Amino acid sequence: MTAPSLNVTIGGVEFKNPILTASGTFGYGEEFDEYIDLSRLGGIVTKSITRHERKGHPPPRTAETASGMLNAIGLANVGVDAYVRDKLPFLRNLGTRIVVNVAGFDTDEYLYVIDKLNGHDEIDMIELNISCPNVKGDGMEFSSNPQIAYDIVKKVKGICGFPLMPKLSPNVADIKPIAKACEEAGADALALINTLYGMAIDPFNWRIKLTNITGGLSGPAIKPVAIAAVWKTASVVKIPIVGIGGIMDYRDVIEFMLAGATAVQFGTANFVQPDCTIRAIDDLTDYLGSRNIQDVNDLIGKAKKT
Amino acid sequence: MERFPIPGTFLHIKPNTTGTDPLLRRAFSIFDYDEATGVVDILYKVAGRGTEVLSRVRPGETLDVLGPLGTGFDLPLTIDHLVLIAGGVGIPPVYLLAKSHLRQGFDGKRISYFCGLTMAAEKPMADRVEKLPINLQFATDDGSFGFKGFVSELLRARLDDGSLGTNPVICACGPDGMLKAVQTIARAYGTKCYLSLESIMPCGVGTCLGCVVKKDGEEKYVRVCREGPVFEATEVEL
Ligand SMILES: Cc1cc2nc3c(=O)[nH]c(=O)nc-3n(C[C@H](O)[C@H](O)[C@H](O)COP(=O)(O)OP(=O)(O)OC[C@H]3O[C@@H](n4cnc5c(N)ncnc54)[C@H](O)[C@@H]3O)c2cc1C
Ligand SMILES: Cc1cc2nc3c(=O)[nH]c(=O)nc-3n(C[C@H](O)[C@H](O)[C@H](O)COP(=O)(O)O)c2cc1C
Ligand code: FES
Repeated sequence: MTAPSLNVTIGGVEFKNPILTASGTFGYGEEFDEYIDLSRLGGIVTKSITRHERKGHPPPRTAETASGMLNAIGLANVGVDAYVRDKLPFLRNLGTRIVVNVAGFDTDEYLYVIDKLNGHDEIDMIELNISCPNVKGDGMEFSSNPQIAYDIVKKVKGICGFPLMPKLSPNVADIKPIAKACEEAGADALALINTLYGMAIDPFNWRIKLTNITGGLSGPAIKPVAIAAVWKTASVVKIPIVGIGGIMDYRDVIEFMLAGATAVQFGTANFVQPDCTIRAIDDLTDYLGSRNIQDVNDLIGKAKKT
Repeated sequence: MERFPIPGTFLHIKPNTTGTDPLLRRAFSIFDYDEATGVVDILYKVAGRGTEVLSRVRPGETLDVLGPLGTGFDLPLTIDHLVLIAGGVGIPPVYLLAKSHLRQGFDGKRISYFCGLTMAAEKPMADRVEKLPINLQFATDDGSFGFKGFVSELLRARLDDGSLGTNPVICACGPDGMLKAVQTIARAYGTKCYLSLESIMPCGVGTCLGCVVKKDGEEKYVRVCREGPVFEATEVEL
């Protein structure tokens, strides 16, 4: 029997397998080089970059919660110029797909960063983090309103030299209209979900655990929320979905694909087990082989109703 | 472990072998190393859920350990006098530093170790330190053993009476309050000083940017897990 095919295609880009790393949990790739063979990954999504360097929020920036963690890193990053100068060279020729996550606090910032990235052929795709507060608008996240999401994706798509994948926030009443708005604006794929709003307080000293008060919840605790978001989104869009949220191993990968995801990203799991992605690739291969499934794409959206 | 570890480096240990609560690894300084067997020891205090789960691990069980990680102490043998300060469970990195220097032929008479404890009942923690051929002095908050008061005050007294040589180097590990006091004293006396810091460390390898501490005098943060946990006292703002 031949080995099952793990290839998936997203926005016209072929990935050797559906397993990527999530933005903000894998640095700029360099830090994991000594722990895993990066060339085996389907892709690497790098830390959100913005126009200027950002120092991030004051510590403590994280707190562990039941089967999850809160983070308020504050989009700390080196800024797009240093990213292009110091980080991109390492990512060239790694033998894996490079997805660059871009964040911004107004439309101009997104456009500025994309413009600086255009032409760098080591980049395969842009993931647009539209979960940031829109400082020029009403301070709401770009991805919290279909019209705002449409406008930003449309404008970015107009100048972006790469396939574009907006990353959606789960902090909305209904993710479907947002997803549809992004598709209509020309998005090539959708990534979901980003972190959920959360907060934690120490019951003994009464202190709020994060200096920033609230943070983003990630890890296994959010997986059911993410699965539902993928399922609902898959029912309204035709473009591929990359599922994110609480993925720890190959079983979670399968669950996301059955819900409708074409690929997935591992986030918090990288902190727990630096080689979690590599193990999942091997285990997924074994799973498909043991069930005589020749093509991983045959899992997508196949969840059965009970 | 195959080689004598660099003092001040740490291990990132998963307290539970299965399950997701606790989810993340916990950081522990390397306490001791046995060259004959290659066995590494840690010394820890139960602080919350992770260390509580860890304390229930039985001999013979296998733990998932990542490391050694971080940047430890880098002190030449040519220094005049090594002054080690440990508060509570801050013992491990400075104990290993003393052991490492002694092993390389550094004269124990040129090592002073000030061990701060809350009370005499905590003294068994320092059993191994007591076996080292160095100048060891205790300080307890309640005066039940040794010097009465903070270990930083003991340091100040010894700097004042000149018993620490002409050009000492201070290395300290312990609670934030103690480190702050040591930092202030080192600054006032113009003494070179290194601090081994703690922070909440989700990844331990430099990717999450969760563990940062503020750089002194700059609007910048540095990662405790990568650039630290050992910093020169003048580098960081506590
Ligand atoms: C480099 C390094 C070396 C360390 N070496 C040792 C050691 O040798 N022995 C030892 O006993 N402990 C050591 N620690 C501290 C140890 O990592 C924490 O005690 C442990 O992570 C607490 O986990 P927990 O789940 O038991 O407690 P939690 O429930 O996570 O926390 C209990 C309380 O402590 C606070 N806290 C949690 N983690 C830390 C931390 N890392 N630093 C400061 N406060 C924290 C929490 O906010 C909470 O108030 C070290 C930490 C670092 C970063
Ligand atoms: C420490 C940390 C930093 C993150 N930084 C970013 C970021 O810069 N940009 C972004 O789009 N998402 C960021 N995320 C969100 C993750 O990419 C991911 O969407 C989320 O954590 C859910 O996946 P998980 O449960 O597998 O971690 C971050 C998450 C964590 C835990
Ligand atoms: S613990 Fe993640 S960067 Fe230091």
